[in-house]
Amino acid sequence: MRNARFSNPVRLSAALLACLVPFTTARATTSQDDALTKLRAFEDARRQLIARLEPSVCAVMSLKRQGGGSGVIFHPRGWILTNFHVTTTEKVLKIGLPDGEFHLADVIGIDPGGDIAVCALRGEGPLEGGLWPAARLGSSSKLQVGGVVYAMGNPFLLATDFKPTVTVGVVSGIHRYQGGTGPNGRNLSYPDCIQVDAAVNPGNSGGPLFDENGLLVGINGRITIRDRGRVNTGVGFAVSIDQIRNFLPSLLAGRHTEHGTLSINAWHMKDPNRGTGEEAIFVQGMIDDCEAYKLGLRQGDKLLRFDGRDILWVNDLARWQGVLPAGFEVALQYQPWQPDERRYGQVQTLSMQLTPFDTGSSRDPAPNVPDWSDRPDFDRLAKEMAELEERKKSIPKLPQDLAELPEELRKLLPEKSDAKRVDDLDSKLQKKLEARWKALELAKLPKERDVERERALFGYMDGVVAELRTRLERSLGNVARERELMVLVTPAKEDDKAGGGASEADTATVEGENVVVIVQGDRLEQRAGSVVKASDSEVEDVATSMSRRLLLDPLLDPRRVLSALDDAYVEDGIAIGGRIAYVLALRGPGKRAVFVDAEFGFPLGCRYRDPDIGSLIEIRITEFARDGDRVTPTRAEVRAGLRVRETWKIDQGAPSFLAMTEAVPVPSDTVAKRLEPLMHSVVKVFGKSGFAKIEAYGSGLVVSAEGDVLTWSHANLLDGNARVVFPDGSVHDYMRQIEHPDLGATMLRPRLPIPKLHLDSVRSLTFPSTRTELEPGTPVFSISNMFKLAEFAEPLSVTFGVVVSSLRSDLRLNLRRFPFQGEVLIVDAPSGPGSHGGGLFGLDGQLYGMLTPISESAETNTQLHMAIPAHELAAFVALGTGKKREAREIAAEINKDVDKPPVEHGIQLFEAGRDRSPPAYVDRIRRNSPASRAKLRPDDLIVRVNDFPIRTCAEFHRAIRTFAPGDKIDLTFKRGATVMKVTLELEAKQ
Amino acid sequence: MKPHHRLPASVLALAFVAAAPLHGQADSEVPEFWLLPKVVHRAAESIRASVVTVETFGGFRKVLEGAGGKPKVPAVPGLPKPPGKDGDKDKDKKKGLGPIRMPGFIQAQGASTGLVISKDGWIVTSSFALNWDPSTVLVTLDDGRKFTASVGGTDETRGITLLRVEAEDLPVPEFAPPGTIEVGQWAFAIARSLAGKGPTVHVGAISALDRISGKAIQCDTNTSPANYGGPLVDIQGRVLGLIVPLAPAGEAAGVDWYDSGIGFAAKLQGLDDVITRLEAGETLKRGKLGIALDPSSLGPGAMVVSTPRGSAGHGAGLKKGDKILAVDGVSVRHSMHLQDAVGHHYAGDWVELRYERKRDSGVVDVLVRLDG
Repeated sequence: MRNARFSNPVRLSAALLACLVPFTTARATTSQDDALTKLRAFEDARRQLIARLEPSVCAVMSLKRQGGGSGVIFHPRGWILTNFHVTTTEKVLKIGLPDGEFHLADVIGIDPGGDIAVCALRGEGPLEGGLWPAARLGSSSKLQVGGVVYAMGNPFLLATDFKPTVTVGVVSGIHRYQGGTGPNGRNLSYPDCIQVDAAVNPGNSGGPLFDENGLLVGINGRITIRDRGRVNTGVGFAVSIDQIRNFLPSLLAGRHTEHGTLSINAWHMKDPNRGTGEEAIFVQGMIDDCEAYKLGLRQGDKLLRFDGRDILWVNDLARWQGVLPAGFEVALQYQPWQPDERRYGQVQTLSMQLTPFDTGSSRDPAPNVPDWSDRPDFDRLAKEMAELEERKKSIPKLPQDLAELPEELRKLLPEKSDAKRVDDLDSKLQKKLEARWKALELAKLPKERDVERERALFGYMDGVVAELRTRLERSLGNVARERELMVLVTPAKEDDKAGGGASEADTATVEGENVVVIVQGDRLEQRAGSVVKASDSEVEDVATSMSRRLLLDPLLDPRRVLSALDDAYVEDGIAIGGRIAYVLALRGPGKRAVFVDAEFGFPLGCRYRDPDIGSLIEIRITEFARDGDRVTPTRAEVRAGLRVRETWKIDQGAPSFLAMTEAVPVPSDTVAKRLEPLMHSVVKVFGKSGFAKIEAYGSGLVVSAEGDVLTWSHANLLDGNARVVFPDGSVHDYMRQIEHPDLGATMLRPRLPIPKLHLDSVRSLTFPSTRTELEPGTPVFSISNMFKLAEFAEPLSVTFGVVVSSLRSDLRLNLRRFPFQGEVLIVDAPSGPGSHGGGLFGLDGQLYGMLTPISESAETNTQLHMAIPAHELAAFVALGTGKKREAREIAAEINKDVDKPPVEHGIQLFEAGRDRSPPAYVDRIRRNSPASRAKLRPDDLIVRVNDFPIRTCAEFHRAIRTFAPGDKIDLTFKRGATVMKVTLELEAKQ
Repeated sequence: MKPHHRLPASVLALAFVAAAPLHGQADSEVPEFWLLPKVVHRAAESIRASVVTVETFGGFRKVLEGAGGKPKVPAVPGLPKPPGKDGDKDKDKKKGLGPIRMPGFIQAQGASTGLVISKDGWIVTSSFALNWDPSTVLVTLDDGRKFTASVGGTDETRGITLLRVEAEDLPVPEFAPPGTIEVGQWAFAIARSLAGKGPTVHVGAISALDRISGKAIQCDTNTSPANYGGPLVDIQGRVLGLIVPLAPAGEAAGVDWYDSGIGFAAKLQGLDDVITRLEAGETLKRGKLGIALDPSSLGPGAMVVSTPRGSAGHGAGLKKGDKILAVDGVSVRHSMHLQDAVGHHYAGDWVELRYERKRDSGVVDVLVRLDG
């Protein structure tokens, strides 16, 4: 459902066609002015957007330690999202807001397994009603690769005025699984994160990632670094907001959240049971006694689907369960291996709850929030604490008479002593007694409490409840007024297997309304493994009790809940079926609570202590029908304690609720559309490494319909073999065909013909044979497997940048000089290890070049992102894909004309130097040499050979080596304060 | 319960900062990235004549401040740490002679970039280019003319140094009026440090406006020795600032952040007084009170925790426990704010401090001459 206001596909595609027209048309200046005007409109919009987002971004600092991170206010009541690794286990933090001031915030809930924490600002915000400027939550599932994002925060704690740093970039990858460790070496994975090339640096942690519409789509938390230390390398990861939403109810309740897991270990492998070579996901291990085992899953079983999604890769499983809280109900479809019959059985579905995943962080204490169910009388508490202070001051003195001492103190006295009074003891013992006495007296006093903090926290919780109440009210609409509460419920009884709709009706009348109870049986059968069966009569009792309760209950009489909500608190989050809800508990007896759907705000169930059977009863709506923006419960589940006692089909008469969804603007997909086909032209290349610090992975370009691949001649290809992973995840064996000595390019050829099925997943690139002039500033996308962030079928990483320059320069690659003498493309689109062999593309999908490893400029000692221009590779690709010629023949052709004979110029430089080569001062000029004819003199300082800048003697020699006898060179030199130029004709060296 | 817990939804909705996103797309059929090449080209063409190549020859490494010439990197957890002491023994022996090393970076002697700021031959460049204290500085103009340059004064707080060449009618670029610069706007870095045919371009956006005590704007444009000394320009090619390596800690630091998305451009606008002093060959240092402040205090005001003998603060009579309330009439919010307010000045400047001393329960105004 795309809002036409934000992107009109028809108009956009027309626009794209328009840009295919080359830019070098007549009247360039006019079109430049036009482009400037249009770009300014975009720029103005972005400036305004960022100015509006800025007040919600905060600097998060510890009161105790140095350092800090970032955060974002995500709700006008002053609730802040940040990383757990920023708050750690502290209780109170100082928050620097862009108004330049510090504010205090209490840490409310922590999610160490998801690296998220929620804090609440104390005091009143600057807006009407004491509110704070807040960012609006977006949806990370709407993001597309190539979409513009803004990262904001306080990198390197640069902001002394707490005005955030804004960095702009694009989404490089979505649904990335990043394992890893968090603080104290604990398991901390980012199971489904967003990869961006917007600069994220230390200190950005906890800060917001906004999409192009200014909606909060993630919390920046992690970067991938390189040998240069802890600075951005073009790879930042943000925890997706969709994941955070799943934990928000628990976090707002002040909990230490738990992530869910299936507790099974599955591998992507060849069939371990039959050895057929068929690849799939197989269960290869289970934690003893895990839920899945109890439900019948066994080692060797083949996994098929998780919650309706095909499991193709193990990362899928890790990703999908990693974003869910413990207790979340999932359906796992599998085929059991039947060893006796040596075949797989029928497809089975097991419905199970995820169990808590122990990341090791369970040892972290929960945030120190008060017992929400017990609201103190703050005025009285404050008075008590003031009195406590007084009482502390007026602790009675240590009795002087030893006989009066309490038993604990008398133990300290020497056994043989005739002392009667404290004064008689030695001074050391006196002091000891004094201290012990004081400690004992203090222990008698009531425990000290931070009244201010508690007041702030209860104020915060009142805000949360008010917020939920508003949402609940809105979702109820006019439910109670519209209809009488008449509900037909259908309990499903286990022993009735007739199934298939209503078979038997049992009518009960409660308070003058009809309840029809119909028995139906499919649900319970499915849960046979986990349900502890009650006896028939028990079920009957509960069912009758339930049906009555259902009517009296807040779930179906929400107006009563609302009136009770004045004294409520959020107890926790809860997973109900496949949904997340707030447990909105009412203070007072009965443990009553209503479950409020976290996404839509409608009631998802309720809880109370049943006076008849004495246990805690929960009613959960497990299914509902959706019609437009209205939802109607269709199925409910009744639990007593932890057991599911009954499932109910709600047939008719249930109230329908308003499912509040806000129209979320969808980011533009212009770039994503352009990138999609290109992603099929770049493949993952794996070779052998065996060397420390040399990665065994890279990227490659598909250059022929047969699947030939062009890649970079990297150490991982030393033995000439490689495995190439296609965009569909299929793996193929490749061998080196030819290698270009200067360009650093290698052609790989598949060992066996690749099946059409897989060839269809790639798109062969064509290489332009003529040079395209790429002006500095030309936008580019790099597509590669940088840092090996994509595995199997996962899409490669995309980074955006511009052409910095096309130049001939003195470059080092892997510590060696790069022999290629032509022009290379330098870009500012980030690349990294594994980028080599990847593609550099223009906005309209043109191939500009092949990425090299990160090169180093000898002139600046800095790393450059570089690509070999496509036209330079065209001939090589043509040679490599033409099968008729022998590789040796081709190599000979490439190699001819490389070694040049030495030349004579007649210049002898002053080369004495210690650490480094000195400037190129002429020491002597040989007689009768080109230099003497050109009238060069000793003490001239040579600064240029043609266009090559010469700063040292070594650079001079290096430049001269590129010329052959007979070549003419222009020599620029400085004599005194003047700069001069001469031309030399080089001679053959004798 | 406080009354504002019952807020109408409409009030809540207003507090969201991006309730109605803005979109430039509405006005243009061509998506933003597609407009870039022409605009960048136009901007680069309009400034290229003022961007010059600066080459240095000879010279030895300047002994930088701090032990072993290493930049002072703040010991803040989460920030890159300087290389360990043990590994640096050999380098320390050669201090003042060997190449300049930052964490993860060794300074080469490649070409750098400068920007013409006056018709009669004044050129501003990044002090980084002159770290070697070269014997010869060569300036090449866009038209190919080459000049040897003399080195003028340095503003250490901005990391800029003036060069002078004997030339006339040099093209002075247009500067963006400071009030028009906003976070989020495009920022192009134009330079000639890499040997190409024309200037190089890096593209990014303005990240923040008042960094390094208000002396620099911050950008996410890649900045590195490949463009230090060059101008950062807006989409019209107007100068926003001069690209320099900067960090809160000190003069030479900041190179280790090259290409990290944290870049700085020293503000040049409205610096007539400073430029005059630099033309006279002065070296301007950051002004310091030389006192230690309590970082944990939330403010308002900044709490003094120690005043070393000989520091400007000590000379002004500040004592441990004093709370500094204002600098030059501007209320101090917290210790970081005070450091900014003082760091805005140069050594030798006079500032007026207002502080409160608990015992005397009085408020005192003093004039302080800042240390270097």
